Amino acid sequence: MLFNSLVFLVFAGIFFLLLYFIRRTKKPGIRWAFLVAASFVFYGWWDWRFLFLILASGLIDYFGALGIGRYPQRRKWFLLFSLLGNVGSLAIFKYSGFVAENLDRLLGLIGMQSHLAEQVPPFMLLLPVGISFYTFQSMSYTIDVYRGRLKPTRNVLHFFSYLSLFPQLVAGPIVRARDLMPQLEKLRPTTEAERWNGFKLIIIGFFKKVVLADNIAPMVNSGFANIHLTDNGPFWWMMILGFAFQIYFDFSGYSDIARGLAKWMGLHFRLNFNHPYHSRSLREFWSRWHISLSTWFRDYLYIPLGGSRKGRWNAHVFMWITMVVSGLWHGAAWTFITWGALHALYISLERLTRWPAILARWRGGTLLSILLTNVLVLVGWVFFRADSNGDAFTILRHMFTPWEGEFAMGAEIRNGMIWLLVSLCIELITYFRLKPHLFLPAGWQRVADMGYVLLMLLACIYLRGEGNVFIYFQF
Amino acid sequence: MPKERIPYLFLLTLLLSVPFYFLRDEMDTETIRKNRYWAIKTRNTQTYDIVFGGDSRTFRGISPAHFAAGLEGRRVYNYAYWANGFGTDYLEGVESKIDTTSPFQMIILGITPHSLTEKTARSPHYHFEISRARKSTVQTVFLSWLEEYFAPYGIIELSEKLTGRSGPHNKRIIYHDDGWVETWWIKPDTMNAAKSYKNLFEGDPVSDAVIADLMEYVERWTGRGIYVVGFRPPASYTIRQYEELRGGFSEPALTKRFREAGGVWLDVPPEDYRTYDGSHLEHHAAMQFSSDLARMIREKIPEL
Repeated sequence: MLFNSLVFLVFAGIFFLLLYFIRRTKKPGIRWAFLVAASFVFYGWWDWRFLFLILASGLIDYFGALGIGRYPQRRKWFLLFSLLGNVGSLAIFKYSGFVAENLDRLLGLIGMQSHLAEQVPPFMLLLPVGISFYTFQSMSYTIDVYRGRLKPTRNVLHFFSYLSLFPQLVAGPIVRARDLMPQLEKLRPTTEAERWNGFKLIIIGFFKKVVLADNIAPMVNSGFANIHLTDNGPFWWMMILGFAFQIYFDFSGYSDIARGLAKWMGLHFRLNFNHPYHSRSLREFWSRWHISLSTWFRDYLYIPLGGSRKGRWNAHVFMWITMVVSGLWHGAAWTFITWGALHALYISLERLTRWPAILARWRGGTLLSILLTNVLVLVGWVFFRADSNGDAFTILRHMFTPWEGEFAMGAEIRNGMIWLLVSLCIELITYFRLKPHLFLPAGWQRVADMGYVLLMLLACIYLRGEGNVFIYFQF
Repeated sequence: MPKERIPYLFLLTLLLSVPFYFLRDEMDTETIRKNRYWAIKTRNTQTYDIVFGGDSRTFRGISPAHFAAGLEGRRVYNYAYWANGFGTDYLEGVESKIDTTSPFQMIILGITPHSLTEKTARSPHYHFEISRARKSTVQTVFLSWLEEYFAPYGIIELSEKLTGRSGPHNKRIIYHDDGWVETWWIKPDTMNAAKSYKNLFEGDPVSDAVIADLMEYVERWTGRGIYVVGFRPPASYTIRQYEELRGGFSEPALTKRFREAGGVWLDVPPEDYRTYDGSHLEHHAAMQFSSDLARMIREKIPEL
């Protein structure tokens, strides 16, 4: 079920109506059963067969964590069992085709003919929606239990109400068990202010997705559909800037909607995006972009590898491993691996040269840092969006050979450009923290707040672009 | 300021939606009505005495209501699809729309040369509609009024509307539940379709195999007591020339085979009906043609 679909509006209406009554029950089991049932309906709407995968993945971690709690001396084995289950399901459903294809190519290079890719069963090529998100969430539960930071729940419904909770099930944010599970034990009633703030978040999320991202998408798609259309540099900078905003608004919009829905349920999800394009360095970018994933990789991969505790050189190696794995997490393609490696290279250079700190000493250096960071991020997005590394290099060549070639300003491009401009203005307003309504008298601030939400709601209805699925669903 | 702001916000939004609704030209939401029309056509489980089959020249050119005006109690349905051909799947579909318990059964085929090519015989549009997910069909059929009321504008389109710079749409379309798509252009352009017809048959001329399959069905249906009538939907001289010279279509040869298979062929005067683009009949001509067709059939089959 997509957030931006009519059927979701009906589903959400029924869900919150029932939640109003179920919230009052003293038996948490009933609440958890309701949350699990609703979440399974939400997920099963795509394809009910994939529910078995969540069930299997979840049960492995549920029993794995129970085993860790009950047999502490064998806890390593239980953790291994859980990790193998999760990584195994990812390997089967997300990476088997990619691995087989590359093995075929590798064997071909040494003169051996193999047809492994053709032998991958078709069901292994179907990427279940949100598999990367819920497996990571599930893994964090067992790892936290293993580390003694969380007590395993004995109630399977409690565990599944955490794992499958519909607002964040398919595209995050990746919520930690130690944050969410205690909240699920008692769903507290919400105040009017919380409901209003939740509603505001939902509308902001929808505005980002259906107005900004979906209106920019046709322009970007038309450009990337034919990379040889033109080699005009400014055209390709506009395309990649368009994609940068499209993916940001698409994904952060989803996170906002998820956080807003959680607020309505009386839950709190942490911030997942904090204006990443305001960053003055790549390090800052990664502390503002997809925060729940970045911190997941930091806590469950980078630090366990050794983090910065094992010397400067090793810290670089561990960071490279983390970034490349993070790229691979986004998709089974060389473009994502290159994207991860490129960001690792950026961060390594940043650590070695400390250029953001040097620039910060200059007058206007902060703005220059922001500009440079964004240029580097944009170059990275080329690999993220292109169909192959070859295509990405072609686009980069176009980007850095300006004023050659022409292009037709079709309706998609004109429309996309308008929304790109709107997006830039919004980012500038937030950067300079312009909040004119704060100058209004106290009583009028609430009116202005309502007017602002009303405008966004009307824009969501009347200026929405053609409905697209959320980009991060494919991960 | 109310304590609970959300209900008031929704109320305000509903109030403000009214001017947005009236700002809209009927043709702005044509896609929504089009989707509903195809969903209903494909999911419709009713059966009829008389069923029309063919392509866009048939669904735009035949009004079942006007056809049935002089025929008492006959249930008529237009089951034509876009860029459609007479492949066996589609012919089975046409047959399934006939009420087998009816004492009078008739299938009328609007046969254009384009509907006899290998490509169109795969009936891509027909299959697309058939395979559309049931969930989305339910939404399209039952909630299309809501989609239509809250249909979005493009930002350029909205600014043009608000500043009064947008003119009316040239194309006007009304979708009827009996399968007719009533169409007319405010400024007709009878050479418009010629552009696409120029290369339409390139590498895909009229196929003898498709004609043979069609004739098999005509024979089978007439053998079962179903009247089968065929005609070539009217079009401009240019279009007919393209069909014959580039498509390799011969109407006399087809007529002969159709009659040999047991069907009744109608010789339609091609120049008597006005088209809006050279290929499709405009709505008044379609109404007239539908009544004339009923009269022509009755002359040959008095039981009608």
